[in-house]
Amino acid sequence: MPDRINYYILLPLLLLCFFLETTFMAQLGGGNFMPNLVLILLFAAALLACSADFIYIALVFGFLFDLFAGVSFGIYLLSFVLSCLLLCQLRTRLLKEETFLRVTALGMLGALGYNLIYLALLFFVFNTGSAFSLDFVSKKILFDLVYAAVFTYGAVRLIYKEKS
Amino acid sequence: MQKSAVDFKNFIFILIVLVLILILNGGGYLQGPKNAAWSLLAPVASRFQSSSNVVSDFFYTVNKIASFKTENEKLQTENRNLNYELAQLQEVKRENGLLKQQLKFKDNLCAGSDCIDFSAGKILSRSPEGYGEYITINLGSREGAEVNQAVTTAGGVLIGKIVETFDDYSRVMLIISPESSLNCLAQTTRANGLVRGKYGTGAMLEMIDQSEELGQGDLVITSGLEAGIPSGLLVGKIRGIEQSPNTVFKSADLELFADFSHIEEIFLVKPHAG
Repeated sequence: MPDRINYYILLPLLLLCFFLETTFMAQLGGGNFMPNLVLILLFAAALLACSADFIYIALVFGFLFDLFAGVSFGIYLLSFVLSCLLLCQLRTRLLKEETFLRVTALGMLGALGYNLIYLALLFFVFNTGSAFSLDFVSKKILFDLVYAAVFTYGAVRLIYKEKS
Repeated sequence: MQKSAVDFKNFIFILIVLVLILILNGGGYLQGPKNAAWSLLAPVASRFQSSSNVVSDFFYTVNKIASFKTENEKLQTENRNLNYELAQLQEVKRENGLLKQQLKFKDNLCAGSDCIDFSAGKILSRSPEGYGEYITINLGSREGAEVNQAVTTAGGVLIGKIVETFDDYSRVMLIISPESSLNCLAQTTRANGLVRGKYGTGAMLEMIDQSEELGQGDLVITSGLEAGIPSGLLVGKIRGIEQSPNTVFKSADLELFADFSHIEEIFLVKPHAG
């Protein structure tokens, strides 16, 4: 496991955010436009250090999202893993220093990539995309970009561990 | 440039695992792991949902305080009117029974609420961010839950239908989900249409023929044409009508009776046993 990520903070935080998203935030919040905190934490971890082990964590949480969501099974699994892999590749090419701007920009790219992958799967693989209008989709992407901009850098600082 | 730790071999292995999971799911082989995962997660989700309900109740009460008095008076008046209507209907039912007896009419078909049972349950969790509106309830195939069965709140108000069942849990697609489409009708004019969800914010009655009449405030109920969903379940009332001479169909915006952010107890609608 990469030693730049504090897994003692990341894993409980992922679980907490997962349960909050499927209960509190889903009930009290703005429905479809709430932040996906689990995804933001996964992006933060991907930006710190990528490894096959970390991708399996993304796979597990994608599975949990599929279990709790009602959309076609597998869509979150694929979206989480593919967007984290995409972010890993972007990180190796673009993240020379972990400055606020670079981290935030990559977080936003990750959010955009996630939504595009999700929509592509919805339309072309699971054939259930026709129920969603362009207006809704564009609002959803915009909200996700804003949340990524707001939370990614903070999430990175939260789970970062100094190399021992 | 930093080196990625996800090399090509790992990448291919991860893709193979993903495809394998999807194939197993398609073949129904993942029901066991899903049931196991639900059994582990449901108690925790239930605790979080209970806490969420407490917080939701607080905000709901605060929001509604100002309108309690007016709403109370309005409900009391409605209650008196409904009691009168109920009494009239009981008389009609009694007369109907007597007439059938006199005609020696054999009626093997049950009608309306005489044919259905309601099983009480709780919401365990809701779908996280995304493109659909779903909830998970604590009634599964062991409690007689089946796909396409209706789920209501108290008073027979429809909130959704079951789309997937596990041993002890079921997933319900809410009527406010954009993927939801239910055949319903306006109670007074009997205009038939489809109730479609509006991205979690409400629903519309669509695909209504231009020749059909619609009345503002008219109740919208289930038509009974959907498998597993009996007729007469309340959905909402017509709030606004949208029509244009250039379109084939007209639609109506609905005021739904269920408050989807404030549902705690639900009822599964099952066919009457025996």
